[in-house]
Amino acid sequence: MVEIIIDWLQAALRWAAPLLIVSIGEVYAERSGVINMGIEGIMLFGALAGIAVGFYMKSLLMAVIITILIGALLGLIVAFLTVSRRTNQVVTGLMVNMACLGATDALFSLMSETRQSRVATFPALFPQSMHNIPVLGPLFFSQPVSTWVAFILPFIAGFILYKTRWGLNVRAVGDNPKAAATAGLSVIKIKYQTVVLSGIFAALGGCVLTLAEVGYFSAGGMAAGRGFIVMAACVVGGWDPIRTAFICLAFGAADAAQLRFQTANSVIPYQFLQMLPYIITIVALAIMVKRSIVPKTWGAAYDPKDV
Amino acid sequence: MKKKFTGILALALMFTMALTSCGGSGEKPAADSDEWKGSVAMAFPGLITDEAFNQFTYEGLMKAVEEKGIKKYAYKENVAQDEQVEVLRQFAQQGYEIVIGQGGQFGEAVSIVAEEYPETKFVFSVGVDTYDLPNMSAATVSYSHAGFIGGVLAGLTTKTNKVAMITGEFYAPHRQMEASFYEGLKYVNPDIEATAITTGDWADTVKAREASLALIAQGYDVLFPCLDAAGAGVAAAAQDSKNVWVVGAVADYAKDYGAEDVTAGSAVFAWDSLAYLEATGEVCDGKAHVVGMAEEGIRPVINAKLDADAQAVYDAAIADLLAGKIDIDD
Repeated sequence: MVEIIIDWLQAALRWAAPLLIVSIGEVYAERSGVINMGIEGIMLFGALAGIAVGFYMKSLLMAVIITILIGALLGLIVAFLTVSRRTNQVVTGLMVNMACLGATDALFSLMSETRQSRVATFPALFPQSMHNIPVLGPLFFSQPVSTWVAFILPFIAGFILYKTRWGLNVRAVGDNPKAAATAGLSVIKIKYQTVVLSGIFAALGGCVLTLAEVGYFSAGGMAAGRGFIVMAACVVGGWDPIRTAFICLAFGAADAAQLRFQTANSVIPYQFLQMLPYIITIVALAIMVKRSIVPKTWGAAYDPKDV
Repeated sequence: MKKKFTGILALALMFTMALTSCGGSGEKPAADSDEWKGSVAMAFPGLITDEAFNQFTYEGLMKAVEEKGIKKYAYKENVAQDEQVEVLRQFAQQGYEIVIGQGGQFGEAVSIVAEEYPETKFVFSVGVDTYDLPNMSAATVSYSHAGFIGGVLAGLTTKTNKVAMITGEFYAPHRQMEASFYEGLKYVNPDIEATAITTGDWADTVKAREASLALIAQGYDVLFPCLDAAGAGVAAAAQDSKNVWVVGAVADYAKDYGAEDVTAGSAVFAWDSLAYLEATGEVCDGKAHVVGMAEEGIRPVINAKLDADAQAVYDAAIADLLAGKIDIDD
């Protein structure tokens, strides 16, 4: 029984790690008022970049660096469209997702060599000898470096958001851009910064998706809705990095649990078990929304000339 | 400023590259010839260089063209859902004798055009529905045969006597496959415990790996995946665990995912055989065909070394299957 629980928790941590990383950037973007819905597609680019660079250059460090560059570039496009051109954020996000899905599938079909071999993945942070320590070994010490980073990041992100001047600026821009502009802040610049950040973290999350443990990319949208789950987690978590991270972890735990329930051959139809994590998210959304404070210009365009 | 410009330029290049690789027709001009031996046209849903379904069916078409000396043939790749009718209609207008919609998504389109051109023979590939049209046939590979062979191989491989099937969703063919998988296990050893789980997504490699690890933790030591690209995740899970084997379906797991070390064997869907049969006019009689072991629609590949006893069981199972002694659907 204990083994089953440890195995389940271990899976929950693994499952949540990429979501946590993506959520960091999204929290910042939404706090500054911009909903970057393109994170699902940007994740795909990150996932592909990780595999491609890992395969051709055999370097995980280069994979991370190039993923960051691609994420920043895609974030810049989203920022240009939604902040400078003031396009509808939802429509823009959907367009970015569709373009990224098509582009990654097409690019992957050109890199057929990568299909047949598994790319080296992130190493575990702690030595092999520590993996056998009861409970803690499998749960924490055997996790790859990316999982550790994913679980430390929300605390750093929370500190920056609440305890630094830049974090205050981000919150001010999201809540009252006019006042922020009057106080001398460059609203546009800060929105650009947060959206580019959301692009970077979405791409990194995608990179972790493929390079944490699987080592394969697959065509046809392997992000499989994780970007949208992160968006829901942001809302349920009240745009707080740590609470959002907690929601992501809960989602991962629910999904890991339903995969284990399916083997019980119970009378519950498997479709219902598959729905379970989503139902939990919706219920949480319904309960928590009342208590969370929405960034006041969430999803709204900002026109600096509009006084 | 210069930095920004190069960034935009790189991006523009990337997108152009992505776009041009999607488009582009692969149509070959038909050669005029007096020794005309039938003509065939095929529409593909994806790129013929995808090293998967599209490429394999394309290779089947090319084999038919070479072996049967078909002089007039055409194909169009990457046909989107909204272009299907137009592309098929164009083939029919150009007078191709056999027009094939390659892939389960072509059913409606083939039926529409087949009604307009009653003189042309149409094939709905990877389908079972002929829409009651006399000039429309359907053909697909046998999921049941793949399931049975997978079951026999899994039964011969397992040490813990617990095996599991992993799929994306249970559609009708996957239920057939599951039932015959259990039949195959029973053929080897009636005491083997088996289960089946779904991931809800055919391309989510990470979730396929998670599902596999969940099974492995519960003592299942042979995994039988029926997934698309996500199958790589099952191979990865087996590689990361000890004494776990994969018996693949659809793809050749040892070759396609480079997982020779953990693959006991695969019941490969021989898409090339299917397309070959279609292009050579073998299945154009207005009926629905299920291409099984006998017609090489399913191609078993064995990677693990079977001992003499196991080999005997396997050979007997295949012989019984071919003789129609196994009680499973087509």
